[in-house]
Amino acid sequence: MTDRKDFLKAYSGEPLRFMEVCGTHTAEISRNGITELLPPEISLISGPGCPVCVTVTDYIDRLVWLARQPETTVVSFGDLLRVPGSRESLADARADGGSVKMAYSPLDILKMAKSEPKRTYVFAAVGFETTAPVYAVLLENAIAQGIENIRLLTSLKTMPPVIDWVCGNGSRIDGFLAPGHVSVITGSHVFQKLAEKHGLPFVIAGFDGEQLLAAVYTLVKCRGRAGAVNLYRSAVTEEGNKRAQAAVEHFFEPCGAAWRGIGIIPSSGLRLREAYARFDAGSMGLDSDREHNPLCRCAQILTGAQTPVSCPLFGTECTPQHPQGACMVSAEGSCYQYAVHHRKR
Amino acid sequence: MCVAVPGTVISVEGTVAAVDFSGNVVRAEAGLVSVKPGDFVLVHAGCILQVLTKQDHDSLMELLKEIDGS
Repeated sequence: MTDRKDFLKAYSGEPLRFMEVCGTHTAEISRNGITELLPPEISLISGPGCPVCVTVTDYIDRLVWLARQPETTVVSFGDLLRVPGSRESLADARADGGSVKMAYSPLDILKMAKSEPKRTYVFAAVGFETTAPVYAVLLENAIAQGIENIRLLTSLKTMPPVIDWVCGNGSRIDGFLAPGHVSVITGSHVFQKLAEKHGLPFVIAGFDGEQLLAAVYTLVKCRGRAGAVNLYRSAVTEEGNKRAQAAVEHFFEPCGAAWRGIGIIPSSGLRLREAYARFDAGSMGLDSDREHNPLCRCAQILTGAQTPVSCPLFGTECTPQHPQGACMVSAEGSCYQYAVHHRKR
Repeated sequence: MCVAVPGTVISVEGTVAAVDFSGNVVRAEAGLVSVKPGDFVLVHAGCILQVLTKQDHDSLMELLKEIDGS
């Protein structure tokens, strides 16, 4: 691996911009100091790969409203709690008497709902292809156990349409570090199709330093060529997890979805099918996005147009302790990662 | 929130598995993939997403050699 590291360090060709579209990759690239090993000619850009960061304020506002309804509790993954809506976050709502709980798994809501059948439990169902099957399993369990007081407020998104958007509308990108855990579900063939469509290299990688360095090396070596390379073969197959794909297909159908900083991308989301609409907590039409702080640059950062350090709020008004935007809230957000690992690039 | 963690299946009861993460044993849904005790699995948000196969340093290096020569 040393030879390849030296190859990267010595690279002095045309500038290359590679985008990762997975929050865990963003976090591990920072934690492993990968960018410190790269010359200025190679840039790694964090794209719209953190599901918390791409959530629009309308969605947060709806959760805050739900948390204040009688006999209603909102349950959420921890990193969504502090994301600001247009006025408040879920954490603010909880401090103000709203009913909000944090959960490790959407499946935790089954026990809660069973123990209080008169209370409605709403799960903040955000996520990409990785998490969508977990919501399908939740609904399978709820139906099998006759639990009817569960709802989902969905903001589920899928990766190929937003990659199409980035390639068509965003900054110039020379290749993608394809999302590892999304690939576990979708299979590598999805990224092969995207690679051919856009004439770019896509490299699927795991999450340790060696895999990440190997991925950047592969992207540099394959620059200018279309094709997907799967380095994460311990977990990712060509076809993916077909049982998970079928479970998602059973409960959900494609719909337009609103992305922070981008707007609505057709067919980039998942909503409950009509047969399961009774589990929906009012997810449709939550499309507007109003930044909590008008100087916040989350939108530009998510599309690769700016980096966190070029935001006027970064490190001053906006810190991990006092975040102004979603990218600083989530532990997988690029601003948070730049801040805690003192990244400059 | 897309974090997934590898662990080893200790036991399976119906569609629920006990998974050991370095000594911390957690229940995980096993409805999306067939698992058996001893399997090394990837768990995300309380759900097993995949059974992991062995991929060591040497096999990654073999892959990179192919890329070197491409």
